[in-house]
Amino acid sequence: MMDRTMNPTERTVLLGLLPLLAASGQLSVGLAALVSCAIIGLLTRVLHRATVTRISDAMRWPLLFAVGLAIAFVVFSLAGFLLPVSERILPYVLISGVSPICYYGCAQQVTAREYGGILGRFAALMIAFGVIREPLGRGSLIGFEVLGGGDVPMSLMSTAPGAFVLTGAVLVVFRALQMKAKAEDER
Amino acid sequence: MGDILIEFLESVLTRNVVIVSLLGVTLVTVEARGISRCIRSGLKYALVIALTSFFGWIVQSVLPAELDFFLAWVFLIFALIGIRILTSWGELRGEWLGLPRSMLVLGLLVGYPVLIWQQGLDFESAIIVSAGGAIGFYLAFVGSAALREQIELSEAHEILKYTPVLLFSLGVLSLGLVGFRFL
Repeated sequence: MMDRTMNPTERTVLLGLLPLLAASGQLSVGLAALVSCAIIGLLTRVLHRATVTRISDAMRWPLLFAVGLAIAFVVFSLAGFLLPVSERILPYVLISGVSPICYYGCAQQVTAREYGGILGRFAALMIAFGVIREPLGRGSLIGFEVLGGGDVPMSLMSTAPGAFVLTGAVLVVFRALQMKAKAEDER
Repeated sequence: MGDILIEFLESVLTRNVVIVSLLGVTLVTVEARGISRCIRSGLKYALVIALTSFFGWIVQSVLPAELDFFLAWVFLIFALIGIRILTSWGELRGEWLGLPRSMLVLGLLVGYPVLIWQQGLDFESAIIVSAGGAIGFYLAFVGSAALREQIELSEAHEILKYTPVLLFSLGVLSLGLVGFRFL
């Protein structure tokens, strides 16, 4: 049972809650998680379509998770080498390989267009969260210092409390927009 | 304070699997409904979390370092066994947004052993951290169910109700727990 007022953004947030909260504390980690989720999402959707009539649900889901984790492991390993990432939050790239947003494309009655919309919203949110949280919380953006020498970063923004509050605020804004649009439609 | 007690308190509070490490946040946001139900079902989840993370640690400690890349799949296998146990106990049945409901717990059951693996713990610490993680989850799960009940009773505006208020509340709780880092 979900909230009565759930809109597409809220659905996206709930599906990708773990990577969105945990990996967006640093933009480079967030981008790695985003790439991982997008590749897993597209590949597992294709695999799901190809196997849906041949393999039972009990076998297919573990198989899809195993494929997802393999892709996430590759991205996790590459990100550690290629990007300036915090070792504390890098494991979340691997863990995001089993988050529901990666497999939503395999859900019943979800069209390619709808899943594309969800992934697009997820990408926009992940990038926006990274761009807000990393400079405020760490004073840098993808390894480049953005705060002045005398400014102290607000470390809470790059950790869990900042993630919760920012996500809650985003949901409130989108609910308010949805209600405003609904009220205008009714007029 | 003994090292073991500090490690235990850290895994329950300052590295709480839901509120600080964020692994169980999807499960708690969706499933924590009704305190009386959550008091019972939280125990089942906690037991499975403790077992999967501890058995994950055992495999990780005996597996040669060259085979570390297999660990994610080993953790996945334990997570799937854990999910099987949970569904046999009546939890996580049915669907959520068209996906198997069991997917809600997957990030937690795979993720917690991954974080333990990253810490490189010894046997004693692995037991303490596994148990601490499970207890931390239980407290967060029951606490979130209590919060949700209060949210449903409150007269807050529809814009704020349910998930946003729950997230704000978890943020404040998280702020409180992060404040214990001096331990």
